Formats: sequence, structure tokens, C-alpha cells
Amino acid sequence: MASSDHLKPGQKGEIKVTVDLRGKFGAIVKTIQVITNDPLRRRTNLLMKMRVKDLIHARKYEADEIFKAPCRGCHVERGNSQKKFSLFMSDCIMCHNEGRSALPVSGMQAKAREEIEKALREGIRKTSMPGWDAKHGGPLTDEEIRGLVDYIKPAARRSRN
Amino acid sequence: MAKTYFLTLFLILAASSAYASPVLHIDKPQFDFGTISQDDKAEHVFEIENRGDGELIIEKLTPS
Repeated sequence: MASSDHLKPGQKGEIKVTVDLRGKFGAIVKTIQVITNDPLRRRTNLLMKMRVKDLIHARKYEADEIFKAPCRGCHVERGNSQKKFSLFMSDCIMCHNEGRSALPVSGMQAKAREEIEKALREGIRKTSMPGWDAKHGGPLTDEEIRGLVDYIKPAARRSRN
Repeated sequence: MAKTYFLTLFLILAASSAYASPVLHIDKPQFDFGTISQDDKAEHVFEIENRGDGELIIEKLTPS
């Protein structure tokens, strides 16, 4: 919406743009093409960028809130009685995926197994990654944690002598 | 004499209107809202200016 369709030489005006975010999610780029009688540049683009979060994820959370309601419904309980790959696909993938907030599997594989296990057990400070083992208030057993590490980065095979 | 005067005036007017052209200037044609929530209103006002010497006409705004 433009304040006025006609601007005299030297006159200033406004173009007000409203983007309807209902149902939108993720990174959005919106462009508006302005067509004028400017003989050297008939078309000019206005560009707006935004990252839209749904209502639940719009606010900042402490990492260990993920173990409580309402987060645990998606981030913990889907993984109940799952192991290794299926546990990863239930509890981890929604953050640890391309284009999401946390490192995808390919990125984690660049790290040492010990480092992956430590992050999984204790969490990573100043991030949204909580400590998942019982000692750190998490829901996973030692076996489940080892299974996840094995899936993320399988131990190097020992060569037979 | 008067004829020549009017002809000259006409030519000057014709020439000046032919050369008068608008120039659309937008200082900041890009805007980043950062992270926003679905129930926020994403509204932005772009400031525009006619820096030319002819009248600028906004013919159409087309959203992507």
C-alpha cells in the first residue's frame, strides 16, 4: 500500500507492507515489485526477510525444559522403548537435522565418539542441548545413550590380527 | 514576432517536459524482521523518495 501514487520532484512517500504469517513457518523471503514511470528503472524490488516460529517455539527455553510438559510429548515420549536409529528418529531428529537449530548427524560424525557421548549425557552449556542421562535429569538409560552414540558414529572396526 | 515568441516558448516547454524525469530512490529496500512468532504482525514501512525532476507515478505494486 503506497501513501500516494503520485510523488512530485523531491517529495517523500511510504510503502507499507504487511505480511500475513498465519500458517507460515521457517525462513521466508517476501519481495514486492514496485513498478513506476522512472525511465531508467521501471522495476524496483523491495525485500523482506523473516524467520517465523510457531507459537510454542517462539520463546526461549532452558535446555532441560525439554523433559517437561508440553515439550516432552514430542521430544521425549515419542522415543519411549525405541533404540538406536529409531530412538534418534523419535527424539533427536526434530532439532538435529539440516536446516534446524542443531547439528545434523553428518556434523556430529566429525566429532570424536567420546565428545558425542559427553554432550549426550551432560548436555552442552549455553545451548538448547540438555543432558539426557539420569544423572543430569534426563530420561535415557546408559544403554539407550550408548545405542545413540553407536548409531551417530559407529565404533571403528578393529582389524583382525 | 509574437508568433516566434510562442513557438520558442512551446519548444522550451516541450523540451523540458521531455527531459523531466522522475527518479525513484529507496534508501533501504531490504528489511530483516529477524525471528518472529506466527501471531506477530509483520509490518514494515519502506520510505521512498522522488529524486528526479518529473512527477513519479507508482503504477503497480506486485507481491511475490
